[in-house]
Amino acid sequence: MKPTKFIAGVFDDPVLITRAARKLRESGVRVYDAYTPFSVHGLDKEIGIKHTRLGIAAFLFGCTGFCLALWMQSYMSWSDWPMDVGGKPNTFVVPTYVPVCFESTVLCTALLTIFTFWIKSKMFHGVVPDLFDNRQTSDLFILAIDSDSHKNHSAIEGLLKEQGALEVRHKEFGKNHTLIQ
Amino acid sequence: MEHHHIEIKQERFEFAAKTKRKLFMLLGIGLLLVIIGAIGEESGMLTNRLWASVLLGAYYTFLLALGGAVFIGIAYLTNAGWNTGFKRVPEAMMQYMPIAGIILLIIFLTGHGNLYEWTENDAMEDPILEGKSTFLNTTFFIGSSVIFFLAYYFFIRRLRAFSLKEDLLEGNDKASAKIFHACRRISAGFIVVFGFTFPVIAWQWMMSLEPHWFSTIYSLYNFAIMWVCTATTIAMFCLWLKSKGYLNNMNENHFHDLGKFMFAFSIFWTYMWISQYLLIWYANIPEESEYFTSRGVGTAIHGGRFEFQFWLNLIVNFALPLLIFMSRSAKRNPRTMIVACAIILLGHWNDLYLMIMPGTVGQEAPVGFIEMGMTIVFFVPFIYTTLASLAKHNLIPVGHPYMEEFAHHEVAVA
Repeated sequence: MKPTKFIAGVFDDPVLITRAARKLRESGVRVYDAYTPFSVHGLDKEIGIKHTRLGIAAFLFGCTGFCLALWMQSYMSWSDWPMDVGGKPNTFVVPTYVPVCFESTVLCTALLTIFTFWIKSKMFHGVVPDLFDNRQTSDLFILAIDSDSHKNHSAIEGLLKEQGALEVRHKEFGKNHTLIQ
Repeated sequence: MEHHHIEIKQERFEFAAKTKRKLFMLLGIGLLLVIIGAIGEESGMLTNRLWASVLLGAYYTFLLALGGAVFIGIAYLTNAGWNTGFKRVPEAMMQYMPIAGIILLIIFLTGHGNLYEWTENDAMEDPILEGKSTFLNTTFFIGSSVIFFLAYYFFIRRLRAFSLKEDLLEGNDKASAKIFHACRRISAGFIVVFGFTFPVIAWQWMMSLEPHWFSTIYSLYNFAIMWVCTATTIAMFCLWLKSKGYLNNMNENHFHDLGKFMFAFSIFWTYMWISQYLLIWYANIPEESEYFTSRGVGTAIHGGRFEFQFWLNLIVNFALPLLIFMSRSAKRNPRTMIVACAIILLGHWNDLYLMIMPGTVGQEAPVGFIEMGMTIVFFVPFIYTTLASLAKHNLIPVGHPYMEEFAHHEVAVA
């Protein structure tokens, strides 16, 4: 079950949000995610976000593309209809396969990785994203905390305020909200 | 985001007597291996094997030493700050360049009869070599090599002198910026000179071992070997220095970037390798494809002496670095780093072996004690010179304008 209720600390300064994230984690609060208009260096570490596994997927997609091209070429020009190219020996001719294998690896990796990314982050055409504040894409920095898994709401609010949050909001989204970790 | 203060302290590397002793022991082992290997070898074969392995060792260390200078030059030109803190390591490596150059010249002067068949060419016998004689003649060979080596030495001296001057300028931003810009100008000159002269060196010293054959990508291929081996050697020296408690501002982020260099240029090397192979395979012109058939590839002498090493080359220099270095954590872990470094250096030894031996020793060339021992014999002076020049001056370029950036360098998770 993904959480639907959030406590959101709204900041207007990347330094403050980074410091707030560290303070929250130090006092045992798990930060759900941070939403910023640009990537804030060091914030990923402070909110303790897990390393993406997209790279592993990309590697597997690459392997798929490589094998596909290898199979395709050897099937077409060697096993199904043996080609005679300038009288060269027609066996499993690896060197001729290299360029196509390379291109296919790159193509499969790039396309499948970006599709995976879109699916995982729910970026489809026509989807209206759930936002804490419209300004989170322009000049506000938002620190979201899953409020169901924490009991000490007032303490969290106090901490956020103390760390320079402009305001603290409670926000509830529908079951199929687009926030993903 | 927040500014953490990182202290940058001067360090001084001490070339311990124990390390020196170990190096001399290594030299002894190398010589011993050569002698053991030489016992019982038939004399004509022995001379050929000795000369070829001498050339291998000398050329390998020459590449590493020159590579150190190229590394410094490119770092200056690209305004790089991630390598400032350990820039004394490539700087120390390049101190070996003049020695390597002299050794190479001595090898040519005394051993050319055994190595370069075109020097013995009787003009009437071989019209192809006759046609190439404007370029492939002893006078031009020696003359150009001497000029190139002197030019490199000139740039290396300037770069080193300016770099040492910086140490006295800690805190004097204006003066150190001036030196930085002077170094950039020198580097620009050096890289241009290097870019135009190194191909000639590769043609002369390596490609002319088989003078009938030619390949236009050969010099780039040599450059790829130089670059990947240089990055690897720098990483190895740094890992060793770190294990001895030096280079305190260097951390896994910097090794991560060195690892990226090794990863990227292993692939670049493969790109050059396959380009050379593929074009020759497609065109199938006898005077070109002879290079590969003599290395045991192709139907003519399938299963030849070098076939195993030929394919091993691709596995060790491409597949293994590709798989080992792909993940982020592998590049940041000193243990995987050192294993990968060893693999790459040994792999390119095999690579150079395949470039030199078939044309000099011939189809019967073994991988024996002579070849291994001789490489050790040539690596010891290189390591010794590097460590000695590291010990001679300060280890950390504290006056360099990018030292602060180096200390704070971080490779983000992305």
